[in-house]
Amino acid sequence: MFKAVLNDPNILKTSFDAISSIVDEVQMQADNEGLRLDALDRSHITFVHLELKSDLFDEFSCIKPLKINVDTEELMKVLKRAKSDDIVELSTDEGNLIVTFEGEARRRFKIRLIDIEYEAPSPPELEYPTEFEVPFSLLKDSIQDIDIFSDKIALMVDKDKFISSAEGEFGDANIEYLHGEKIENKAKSVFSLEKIKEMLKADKFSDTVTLKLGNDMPLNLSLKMVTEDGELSFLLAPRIESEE
Amino acid sequence: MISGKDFYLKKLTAHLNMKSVEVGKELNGSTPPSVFIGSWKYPKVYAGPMIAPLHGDTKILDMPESWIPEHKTQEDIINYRMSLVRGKQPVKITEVNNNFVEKLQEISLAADSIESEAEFGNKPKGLYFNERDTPFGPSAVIEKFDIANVRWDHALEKVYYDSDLKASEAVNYLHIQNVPFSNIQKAFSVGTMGVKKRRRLVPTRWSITACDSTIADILLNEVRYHDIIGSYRLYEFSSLNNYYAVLLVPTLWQFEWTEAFLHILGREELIFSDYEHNEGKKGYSRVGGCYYTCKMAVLEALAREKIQAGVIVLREAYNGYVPLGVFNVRENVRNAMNQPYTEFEDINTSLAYIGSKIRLPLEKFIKESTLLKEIPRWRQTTLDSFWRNKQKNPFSKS
Repeated sequence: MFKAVLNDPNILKTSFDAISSIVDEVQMQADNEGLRLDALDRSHITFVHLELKSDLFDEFSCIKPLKINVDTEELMKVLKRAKSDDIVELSTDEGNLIVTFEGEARRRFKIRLIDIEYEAPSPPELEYPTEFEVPFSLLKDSIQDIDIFSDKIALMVDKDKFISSAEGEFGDANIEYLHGEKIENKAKSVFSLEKIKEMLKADKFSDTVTLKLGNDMPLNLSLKMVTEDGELSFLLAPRIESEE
Repeated sequence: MISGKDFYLKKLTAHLNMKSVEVGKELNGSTPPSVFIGSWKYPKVYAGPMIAPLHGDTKILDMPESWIPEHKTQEDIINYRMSLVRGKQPVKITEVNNNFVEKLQEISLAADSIESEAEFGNKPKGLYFNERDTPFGPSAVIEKFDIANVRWDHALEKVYYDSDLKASEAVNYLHIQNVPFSNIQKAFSVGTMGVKKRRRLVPTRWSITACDSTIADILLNEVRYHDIIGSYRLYEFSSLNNYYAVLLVPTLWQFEWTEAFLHILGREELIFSDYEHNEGKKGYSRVGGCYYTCKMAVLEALAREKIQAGVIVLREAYNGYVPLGVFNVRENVRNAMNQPYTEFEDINTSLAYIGSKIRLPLEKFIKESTLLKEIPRWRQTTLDSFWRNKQKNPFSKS
């Protein structure tokens, strides 16, 4: 039996706002430690990982490990219907994920489970020369600034600053932020702006973002809850300039 | 659409003289089958059949799919179109159950041309020729309209009776069943598919782009799973005063359409371009419907070959070119994709070769384009490549 209750629907809503724009279908895994998902988009450019520990939930029980395969778009359509003061309950029956909103009325949705032939990929490990935190709002603003002139963004970090920049046909943009962290290396990679926008749809998950950057390496972007009970993280393959 | 392109094409069509067929207030003829739904005064539109004062099989008049393979000239095509007489009546787009619209639905589901009789309020006059649509002959309000018995196309009939099938699924089904694009589009435009209560008349112009982009989206979802090609491939085709070059590059899906209009009016050289990266197109293309038509045609070929690639399409239109509708792009690109391709090892040799085939210096195309600038310099990597040495790639397909 599986049952998970959350007093705040926003965590699920914001997570799946991002997840559903990256992958069409996901396999969620539930066990007594909580709920987890790992997924890779069709083009193998973005990897997404979500972990919601059982402590985060107001009520959580999962007697034996369970795989819940759903169409993310269908799930998102349902989550969008949540009101911010609703209590959300997730459960399953034979063939369905059941989402219940408890508010003025008790609203119940059954979302058909789907077949997923592959096993969820395990999160790969990479060693990064830099790791630092920036405010979520700063990153979101930078993306909008860059969007004026370009569809790709260069992210750079050195011992003092974190710099987002772009060179476009009609103009350039450059955003510098003093990060105040101890960073010894310098790192720079370029990414698709559109792909970063997809990740940042999860704007209610956390106020800070942990970034790991390397040179021409995937971006590791992670949103962690203050209580450490939840994490939503992404890995994004870079764009690389040819050497010719 | 870019107002510049609209304005230019308007100028191109303004100076051409065409002559449409002469008919009286009563017309006894054949419909290819063909219907036209205008967009003027939407959501109350002018809808009606197109009938030629001919008998027997008139399919060719409204079947762009066969014009290029059968080597029809621009004059042939214009003559075909100018012999189509358009009857029209004002109809609300939601009135798909009135007698007149039901007759239009019968026409567009037909497998063959249909003998037709029409009475017009006035003698049909003028001709319809503009920068965006496929032209046709004179038109008039239709007062009486009768058609002979109709044999329906099986696949079209099936989606007509399936009132739970979504319109997008219907379009996809018909495409898989190899129903010609123009038949799918006609049936779509008269509200014969989709969930029953959502069926509507759709202006012809919009229905073309709706069908193109619906098919393209479905094909793209399929193509994203295919393996990326290993080299550069160039497909070419020329017809109707146009040259088309389709270059497949070994990257994830991305797409760019760039067209040049050269010396058609005078000394002008105009270039219009639009593109999408891997994530696909958001919002309507600034170059108009031809973007979706071309995208559909190349995706059709990628899906057929079970390959994935980035696609760069260049088109040049030369003196003598007449805008006859987006079929020109769709059918030329389809024909290009059916030719044997030339293979190249790298981007520079493929571009050098294209440079030798086009009339405009390639630099001018590059200047107006985005992907053509970017592809030689930038590459979107995939996550797969970051695990090749260290650990077993957890993403490899098993």
